[in-house]
Amino acid sequence: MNVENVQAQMRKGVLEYCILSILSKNDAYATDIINELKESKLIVVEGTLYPLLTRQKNAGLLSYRWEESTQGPPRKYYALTDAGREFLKELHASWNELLGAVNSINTRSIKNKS
Amino acid sequence: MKKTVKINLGGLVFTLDEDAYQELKNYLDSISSRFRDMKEGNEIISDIESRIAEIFQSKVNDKKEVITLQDVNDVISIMGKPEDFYDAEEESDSSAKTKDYTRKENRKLYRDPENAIFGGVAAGLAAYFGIETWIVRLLLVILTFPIQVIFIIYIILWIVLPRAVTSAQRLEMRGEKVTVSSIEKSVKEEYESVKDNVKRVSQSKEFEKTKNVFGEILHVIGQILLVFLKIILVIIGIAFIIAGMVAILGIGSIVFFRHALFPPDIWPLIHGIPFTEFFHSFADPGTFNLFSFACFLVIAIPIIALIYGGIKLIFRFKANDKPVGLAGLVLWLLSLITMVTILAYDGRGNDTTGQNTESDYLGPFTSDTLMVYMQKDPGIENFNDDLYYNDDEEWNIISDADKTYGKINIDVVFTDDRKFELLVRKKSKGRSKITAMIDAENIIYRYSQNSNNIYLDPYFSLNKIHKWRSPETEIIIRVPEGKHIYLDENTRYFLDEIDGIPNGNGEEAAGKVLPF
Repeated sequence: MNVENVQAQMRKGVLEYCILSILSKNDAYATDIINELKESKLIVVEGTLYPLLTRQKNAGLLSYRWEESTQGPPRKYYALTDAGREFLKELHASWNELLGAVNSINTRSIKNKS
Repeated sequence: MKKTVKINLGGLVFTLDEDAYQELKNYLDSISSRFRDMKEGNEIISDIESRIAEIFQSKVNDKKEVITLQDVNDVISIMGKPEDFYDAEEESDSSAKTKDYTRKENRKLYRDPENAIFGGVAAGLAAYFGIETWIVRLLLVILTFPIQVIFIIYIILWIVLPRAVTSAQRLEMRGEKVTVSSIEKSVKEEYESVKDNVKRVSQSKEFEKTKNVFGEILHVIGQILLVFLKIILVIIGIAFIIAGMVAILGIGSIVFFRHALFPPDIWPLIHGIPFTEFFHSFADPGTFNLFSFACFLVIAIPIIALIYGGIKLIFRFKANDKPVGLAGLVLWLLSLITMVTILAYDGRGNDTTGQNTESDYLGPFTSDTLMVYMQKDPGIENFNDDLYYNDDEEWNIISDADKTYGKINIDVVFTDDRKFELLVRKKSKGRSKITAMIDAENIIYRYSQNSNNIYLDPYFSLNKIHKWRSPETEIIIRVPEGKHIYLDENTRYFLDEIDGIPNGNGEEAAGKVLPF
């Protein structure tokens, strides 16, 4: 067990949640999502995203439409479906729970130490 | 100057340097092997391809039309290698997935024209194994002396192996990593992919409990069998090569060391006839050579095919070997047909007997008794005068460099005539009376007379350029009434029909004077 591994696991866990979260603001195409995730240092390489998007779409959480692009091939614009919104809501709730849990553990252990 | 390749990626056309193309192809292959088996695989792959197309689009402009290796490497570092993708559904097995994509030992056997002395086979092999070319050359040269078939294999490889002309082929020829154990590695890869499949089944149980588990299990069993099959094929390949080599060595030692190991006179006899004379008995030497050659091909072609097949099973290289294989097959069939034809055609050569008799009145001499001796030294290379003292079938036929010799028979008969007479009756067999007579005429026989002494050569001879079709020579001595004949002790084993001696006991006449 090493640090990178655990970090990767953590990122992996929240990645799907973050994708849905990004799309809840605006419809976006893969590169937009990637840029945002890259900024937050959630992903390093772009290839990671494509399987996730495709799976979420197949699970009915996302839909997409083709849009012509001025530079390059037509792009897939992804949007959340109603099911996706429901799913995101649940994830939001779990995330907050998780965040609370982690915070409370952290603060408690700090208290214990001091 | 660089060669370029045009590709269609995500519906757009790009021009790539060949090395860039190869790199991109490897990359996309690795992506596709990662996602291929998933049901959304094709979609993921095409999404990734259109993203790459987008990046490429941003790299070309009016001044730079060609995608270079650098561009491709940029794309790969942006997109990431498959082992860097993490995927929520694939639990923590990303470490097991570290199948590094960098030209995964897809090394292929090519001929290397740039480092070639002859065909570049040695250089290609060296590149394949990642060792120095001179080592391969040295090994080839050293091994070719004891195992001549290596030369033939070399020629075959020269013919069937493609030349590594393009830079992509040169890359394939070398591979990237220099490991001699490429066989082990490919088997390992196979094993890894099976392991992956097993994992996938266990996952599909979790995610898709309902369907296809059985099918997947069958698939995995199939994969495992496939790996076993491949390992077995490699083992068979090695066995083929060893078997072929042993066969070659065996045949080689018989052909090349026969005379050293078994001098001709102890070479096994077939019905008392030495081996080569046995062949001579149904074929003239020209046909005999053709027969030997056909025989050689009939045996050698399958052996060579065996060794080549073995090499191919082990290295699993692609080669344009169909024409050569076909030519080999045709040649083999032709040889077989030739063999059978010679056997069938010449085997019938012995149907009819033809004979040719030369008769001679012996020169005048004073005595009433004719003395008959065998020539002590007939001047034949392999002659051995044991012949005069025992009746061993071994001596019935002997041969030297250009002649074959057959033992004669002596008959002694009564004649109404007043003079001693000696007949040399030469016989041979043939398809027709006439050819048999012609063959009989080729028989050479000599004797000599000195006053009342006759010296008979023990053998008649036939030049090896003629067919040996059971030829025989009878010496018939005709004795007039009131005269005598003395048959020396050394004629004993040549005597056949003697008048006055019961049939079949001709030998008893030896060493006696017979009155007529």
